[in-house]
Amino acid sequence: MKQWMCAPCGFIYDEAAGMPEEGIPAGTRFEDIPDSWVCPDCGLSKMDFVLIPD
Amino acid sequence: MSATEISPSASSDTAQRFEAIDALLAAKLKPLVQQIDQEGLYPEAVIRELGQLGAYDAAVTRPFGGRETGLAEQIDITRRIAGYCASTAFITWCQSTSAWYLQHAPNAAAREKFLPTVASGQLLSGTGMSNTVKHLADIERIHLTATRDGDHLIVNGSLPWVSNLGAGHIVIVAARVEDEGYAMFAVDCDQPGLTLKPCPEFSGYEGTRTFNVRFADVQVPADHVLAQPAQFKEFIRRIKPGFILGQIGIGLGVIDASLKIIRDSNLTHEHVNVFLDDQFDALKSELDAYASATRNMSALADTDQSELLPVLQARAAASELSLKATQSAALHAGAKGYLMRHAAQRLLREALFVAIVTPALKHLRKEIHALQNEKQAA
Repeated sequence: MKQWMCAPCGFIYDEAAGMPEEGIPAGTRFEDIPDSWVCPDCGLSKMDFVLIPD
Repeated sequence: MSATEISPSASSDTAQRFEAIDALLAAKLKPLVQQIDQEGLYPEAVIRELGQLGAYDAAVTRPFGGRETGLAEQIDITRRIAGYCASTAFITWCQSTSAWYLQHAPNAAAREKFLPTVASGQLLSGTGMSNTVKHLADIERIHLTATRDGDHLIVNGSLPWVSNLGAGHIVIVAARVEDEGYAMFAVDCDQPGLTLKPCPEFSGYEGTRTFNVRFADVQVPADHVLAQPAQFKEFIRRIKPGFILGQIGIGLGVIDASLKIIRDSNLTHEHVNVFLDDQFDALKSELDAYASATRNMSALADTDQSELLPVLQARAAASELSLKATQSAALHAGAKGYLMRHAAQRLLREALFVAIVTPALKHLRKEIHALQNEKQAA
């Protein structure tokens, strides 16, 4: 499971934890989140996220 | 010259205004500083009263209700406010810089509609230009896009953090307009489709009403557009020096406040403080040199004769000196300066903001590097 960071605001999406409060179950891969999803903190799109190296 | 002194050449009107502003700051802002810093209080009554005293209109022309005394005086005012509270000085910068944009906007309709009330502080205004300024320096992609619908622009996207916003405020931003280029415009914060979303907590400047601003098909009428795509490049060139120089006022005030801590600390501990780097006299001498250079560059910005490279260098120097002076103030204060109630703690965070707010120190160095390379190649 990987972590992805919103480059402009620093929000981290953790695939292991998901975001159940946003309807994204634990274990959801970043690629499987709909493209219409936006960063909950700053409203920017998936394209602004970068993969955090292990 | 420190911010508390008045230039001998200042007019009596300016002297009176500075006196009134200083009195307001001492009586009404100073008691709120801890609350602004620790509880995120937005000092709206003080901000409005500052507007009535002319704290945002020095670089605004008389037909729009301004005093027309110039950008240097505006920076002096911002500096005086930052000497008490850099968060409130940042709001002052938002307000006076919005007025600066409107003053120089090629679209007279937008200028007439918004400038008098922004300059007087009746209409509060945020400037959401950080993303655009970074985008134009090849640092990040543009976050707002617009399409045309007759005379209107329809705007979508999100700006992570914009300050001095709220019900009844406006925000001035820019967007890419299809394949035409960029437009810069004002949006009412109450407009349908515009959402102000609370941000995660910042380590300082929480009293600036900073929000994540989301645009969903927000309609922008033609009289809200400051510059259309064909006018945008020239407009940005015109306003950029004032945008950057204005922020130096925040840094100068933070350094003034740091010098006060150093001076006060030396009343009892000079015998040991003398072993520290960055002593009062050296910092004061650097401060005076930068303040004087800023004043000269501001006069050039007023008359559109700015050279961008020294402006960027002065802004970078203000960041560096703010960091150095606040660090020195904390070290001079010693253990008591580590208490959260001590001003040295707040100043450290205030100075860091001067170095990270757009244009951040790293951004400034990138643009300086590019301009120096261009000069060498020419």
